[in-house]
Amino acid sequence: MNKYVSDSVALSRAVPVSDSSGDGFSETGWGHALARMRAADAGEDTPAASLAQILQHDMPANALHEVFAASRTDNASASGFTLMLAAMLSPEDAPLFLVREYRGGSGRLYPAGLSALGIDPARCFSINAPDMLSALKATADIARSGAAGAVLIEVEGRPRLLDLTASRRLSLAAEKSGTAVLMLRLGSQATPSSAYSRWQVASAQSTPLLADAPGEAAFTTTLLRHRRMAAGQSARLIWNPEKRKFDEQTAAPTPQWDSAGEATFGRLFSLAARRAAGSRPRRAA
Amino acid sequence: MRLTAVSQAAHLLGLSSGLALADARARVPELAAFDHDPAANDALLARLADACLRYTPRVMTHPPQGLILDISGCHHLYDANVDRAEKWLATDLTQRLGETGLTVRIACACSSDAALALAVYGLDENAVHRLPVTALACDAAVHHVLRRAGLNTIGDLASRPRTVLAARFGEQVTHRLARLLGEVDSPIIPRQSRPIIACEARFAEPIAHADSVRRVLAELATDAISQLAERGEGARAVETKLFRCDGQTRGLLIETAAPTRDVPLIMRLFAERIAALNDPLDPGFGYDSITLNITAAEPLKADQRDFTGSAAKAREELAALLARLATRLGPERVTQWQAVDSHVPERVFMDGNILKSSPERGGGAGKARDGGAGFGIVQTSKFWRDRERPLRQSCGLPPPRDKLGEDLVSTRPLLLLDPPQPIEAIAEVPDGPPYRFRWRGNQHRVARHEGPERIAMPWWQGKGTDRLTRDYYRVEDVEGHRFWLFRHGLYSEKADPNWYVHGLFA
Repeated sequence: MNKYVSDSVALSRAVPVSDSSGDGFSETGWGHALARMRAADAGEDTPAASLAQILQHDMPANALHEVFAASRTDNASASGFTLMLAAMLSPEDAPLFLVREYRGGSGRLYPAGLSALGIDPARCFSINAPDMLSALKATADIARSGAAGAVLIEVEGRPRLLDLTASRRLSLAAEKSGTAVLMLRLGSQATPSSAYSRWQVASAQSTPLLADAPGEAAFTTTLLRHRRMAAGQSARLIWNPEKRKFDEQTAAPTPQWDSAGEATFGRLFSLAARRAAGSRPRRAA
Repeated sequence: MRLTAVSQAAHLLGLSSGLALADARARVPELAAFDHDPAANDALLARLADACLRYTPRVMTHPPQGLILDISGCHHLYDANVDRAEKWLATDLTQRLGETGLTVRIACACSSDAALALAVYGLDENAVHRLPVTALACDAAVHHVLRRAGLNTIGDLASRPRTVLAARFGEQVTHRLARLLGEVDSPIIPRQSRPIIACEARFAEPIAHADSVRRVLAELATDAISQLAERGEGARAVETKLFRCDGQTRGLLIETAAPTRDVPLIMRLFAERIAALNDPLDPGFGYDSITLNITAAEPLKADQRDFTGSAAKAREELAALLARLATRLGPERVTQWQAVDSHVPERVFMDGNILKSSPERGGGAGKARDGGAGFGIVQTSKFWRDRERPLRQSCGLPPPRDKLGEDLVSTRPLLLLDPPQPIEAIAEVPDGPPYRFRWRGNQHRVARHEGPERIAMPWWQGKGTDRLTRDYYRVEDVEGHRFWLFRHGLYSEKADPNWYVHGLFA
């Protein structure tokens, strides 16, 4: 019960009041939300929506969303997922801001790889903040200004500065300007925050191309928290760069490597000839 | 150890520069000696030069202890009479510098070389002819020979035919002589390049309050911007100098991502700049003069807005945001990717400074792509994919298809590790892909792979290991992590090539 009360407080700011007549309880805004909450309070279990549906319909752009990397080796996947979210939540040509605390030695984004996700590198501005405080401040500034389509902040570990106040500040800035704020959390467990939704991302096996070549990026995604939807479900998602949306692919690829793994090694294929013929396995609809 | 400089008191005791410290100590046991610090000397000289900007915008340092001020055309600011103005300036300068405990020698002359020599030898304005030949500042040997020939002063030299002097002592002597006599112009390289627009405010009483300073800055900015508007330009860099009445100066520079004529924006950037200072502004006893210069400007035409004006507004907002971030964090921290003409994966791009972009370099907010955010850099994703295409064709791989094609599997990673990290890899066949590898202490078993994509290093650059050919593989391990690995060196190049992980796919 308490959970919903606390959520309703947050909700009162998140849901826009669309009518100007003054009563405020219109069908589209409050009424919808209240009906949902009443249903939840009455113990009616709303059927858990699929992640692809949630991503398409229940991800407001004017909010803070968090993405956690499941482990250290999943950092690249979590980065990719967050960038895809940024592309999904912002208009196609709007600038993207990538904020991170400057650290030498770790991997950095590569424009050629970015363009394959359907994100134009010319849209992106990188900000290497000298410390966490200025990174958070810059993120809040960008979110507040409304000039950016989305802002992505990368946070390593659990910095002391990133408390509830800080994330609330980012949420409010996002709500006010309509700029999506995406927080990529590496090397940390989920912590309390005011994020609208919270995701955990791990790499998943891709659907292989011909000759058993690695295919396009696939993720095992878990919804950890969502303000309006039941959370906890997990699915294998792939990104559709043309439509800029996520597709759910329930059927994991058959693990060919296990049965015949040794055998496929060293076999020769004429890649160019066969793949150009368009005989590549199609992506599940 | 030798003395490099001595105080006046030490000079009276017979010490001079060049003397060994031990000898000096033997003569004057109570001698106080300090380490020579040329950097601090230069810094002091630079600070003095900045302080002299109150007299003229053209100030040049002449290390180790000279300052050259070009006061041509500045007289009328002090007095209608040129002589009185010069005298006033000299007195004021002597007094101000004297207050800081420096010994000052001032000379006025029609060329900077002459003025410098006169100041060094302590002569007055019309005494160029009485300067000793050492004022030529040629080799000591030349000076010696000149004196042996009975030519002791510049006047002696000036009365001789130049051709003879040049034949006997070299061109250098006649050239220096001409400069001393003011026959040839001695160029002044001012510390500060000439601003496009300069505005100045002087106060009868020094002002110290931050609000007053801000108000004055806003007035100056409004003035400068209105002048810019007449020229049809917008400011890219604005610099202000605050002159404290005790001679300290403080400069602040702001740069914008796109030309602007927005005074409130400029004032906001100054506020950001002041807030980001490591040592806050200290007005001391107040500022007695403030200047504001536009140091860089670009054409800014009044643009035709569309019906709502939203595209232009968005562009302005973005430019303002970028300028604000760059002012606060430093321009090198706000970057945009910029393509480099190279096929080596880690050199394909570099971080471009958004403030340094100019229209000539292919971009600029002036001709940003329609509705796009591109500032200095307008390479689109098509550009980046086109870069890959010839590579893939050369290795017999199909080109990655773009938006109109069917699939978009990237052959380039999302994250690049720079430098590449070494891994311990085991391959089934020497030329084949790795079968399993260990990276950062974790064992990865390769489930799928594609490759090799062979990338040769430019043979005309680097040497040794820099030139080894790399065989790149896209691999996916059993858990679904995707890597970009390469074998560093062909077997023909290296007996036991190492493996590296260079990138991570999403």
